[in-house]
Amino acid sequence: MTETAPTRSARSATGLGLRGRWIGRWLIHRPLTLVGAGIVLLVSATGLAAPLLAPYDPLAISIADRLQPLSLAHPLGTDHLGRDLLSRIIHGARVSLGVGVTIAALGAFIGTVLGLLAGYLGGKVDEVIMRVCDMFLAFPALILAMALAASLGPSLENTMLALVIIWWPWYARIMRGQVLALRESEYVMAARALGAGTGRLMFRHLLPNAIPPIIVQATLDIGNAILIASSLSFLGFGAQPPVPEWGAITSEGRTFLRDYWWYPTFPGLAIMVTVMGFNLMGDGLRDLLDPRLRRQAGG
Amino acid sequence: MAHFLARRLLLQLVVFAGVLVLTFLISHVIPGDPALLRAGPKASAETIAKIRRDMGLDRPLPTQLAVYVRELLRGDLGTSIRTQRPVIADIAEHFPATFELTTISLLVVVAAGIPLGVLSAVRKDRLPDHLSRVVAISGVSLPVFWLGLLLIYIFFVRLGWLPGTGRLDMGVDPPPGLTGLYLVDSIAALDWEALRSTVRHLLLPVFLLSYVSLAPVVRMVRSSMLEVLGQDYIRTARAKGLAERLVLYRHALRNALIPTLTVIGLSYGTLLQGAVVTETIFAWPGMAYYAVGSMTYLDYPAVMGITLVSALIYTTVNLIVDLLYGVVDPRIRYD
Repeated sequence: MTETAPTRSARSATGLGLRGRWIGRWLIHRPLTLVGAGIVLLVSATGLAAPLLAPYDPLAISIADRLQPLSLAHPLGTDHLGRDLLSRIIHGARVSLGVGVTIAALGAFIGTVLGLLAGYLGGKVDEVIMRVCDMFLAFPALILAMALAASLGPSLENTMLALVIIWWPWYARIMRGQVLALRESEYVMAARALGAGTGRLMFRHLLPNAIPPIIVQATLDIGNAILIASSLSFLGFGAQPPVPEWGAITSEGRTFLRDYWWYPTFPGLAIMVTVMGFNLMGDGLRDLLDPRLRRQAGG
Repeated sequence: MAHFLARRLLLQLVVFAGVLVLTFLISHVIPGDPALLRAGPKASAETIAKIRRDMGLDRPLPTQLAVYVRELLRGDLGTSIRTQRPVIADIAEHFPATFELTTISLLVVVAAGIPLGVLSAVRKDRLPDHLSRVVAISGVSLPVFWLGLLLIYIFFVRLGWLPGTGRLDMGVDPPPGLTGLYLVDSIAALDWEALRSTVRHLLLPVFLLSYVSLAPVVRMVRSSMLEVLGQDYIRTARAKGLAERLVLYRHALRNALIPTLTVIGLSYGTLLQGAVVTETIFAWPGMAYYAVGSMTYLDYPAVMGITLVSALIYTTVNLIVDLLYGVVDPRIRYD
């Protein structure tokens, strides 16, 4: 600790320029983080530009072209309704990213607010919020999500809702821990002594300092959310045909596996590459923000 | 210790009561109407009303909850709408298949994860470390259903080496026995044909399930080994000339395993979730397979039963892990 304290203040004193260079140097030693970030960028760009990139309409049925193998006209073949698989997978990037980002962002938002309240206010508020968290965390997540999604009626929106409901307690716990650690620190005491109110202390002083681990977790969770949402779609509780969601496409292709291997293979591959991108990037971010690992990272 | 145990059990009860209410709400505040489903599409309004009454769906929610809890305390989880059998009997029938699958997978995770983690720590930033990182990251990034389909395609469809679905080959009778665990039962009955068939059917699902659950254990062993290896007593052990193997396994690993224990406990939850998809892919007649069927059918007594039982298993495993801490690490005191 005695070693890191002066470095930290020195760094903030020299400003962003040095910090940027430092992160750049750090990244060179972690090629996998770069690869992850590259994948995430690529998939995001694909999702955003899907209508421009996709050679065909992802929903256009053409029975005459059904189950075509890989060819120049259809680089990833066609499905059982003659739809171009490449176009469906490109549009799927849009769907899956939307799902992942929405779940992680909403979950993180709810969890952050509740965790902040629990950690700062303590007492009964803390007790109630934390017991509710325990309750949600007592279920294996996928099973609870399945039950919720099945009850609400299978659709992509309900899957997202179900996943937000089971996801926020993780963030609430992280946030609470952070706030408890920071609450008694000198700068908070100083702010309080200067007459800062509860709201100002919580949102202007505690929140910005407690948020980094939440950001890391949310990044990692975009990948996890894509993965679990695609599992739900595969099982039939999520996106319904003809939505070009990767898990749903894999599920549709499942019956054709024996003779048309490419049909379920490519959408699944898209999930794996995307989730791996988020995991690699999130991993790097975690190491970057964890001062204990930071010193080892360069060497 | 007794004090801690009492507090922990009390907390467990509170959480479990919450779980019960939550499960109840999920399955009762739903847009889908179980009475409609049960009556079928051609039923008249009176028939549906009668079924609603028979199922108790017309009563106020708190009453329904009270009735449910009362029945539950008697060990009655209600009657499945789909199978028309007591839910508890359905779960009991499907449980052994899931238990066999997840337990063997957990053993594989531990047996493979600990050595991989140690190797990764000892050869930090060298090839074995990178390889184990790739295994770990790919494991958590893979969609379970997708890898399952690929395994079936390669080993069943293409190569024909291993069976693709079920617990036994067609024509092989399940071994007689009480446990329902075919591995145990077939050995107890000296039924080698059933044993062979069981093992062959277990290979792919167990590989799938343990591969996707391996990562957290490997990474935890790696990071806690790295932490332990930097400590003074390890230097002392090396300085007094102990063989490296002894230092690693006797001195370092023992202490590195303490945080790993939590992760292994948590893995059981991962395994239960992985089992949902694995059982669906391999038509493995376990609890998760039953769960997916029930949920698709909106069979709400079954859905509640499964969600409750899975939460019970999950929380109990975590409780056991908490208690094991004290056994593994005598420094931890519970008061």
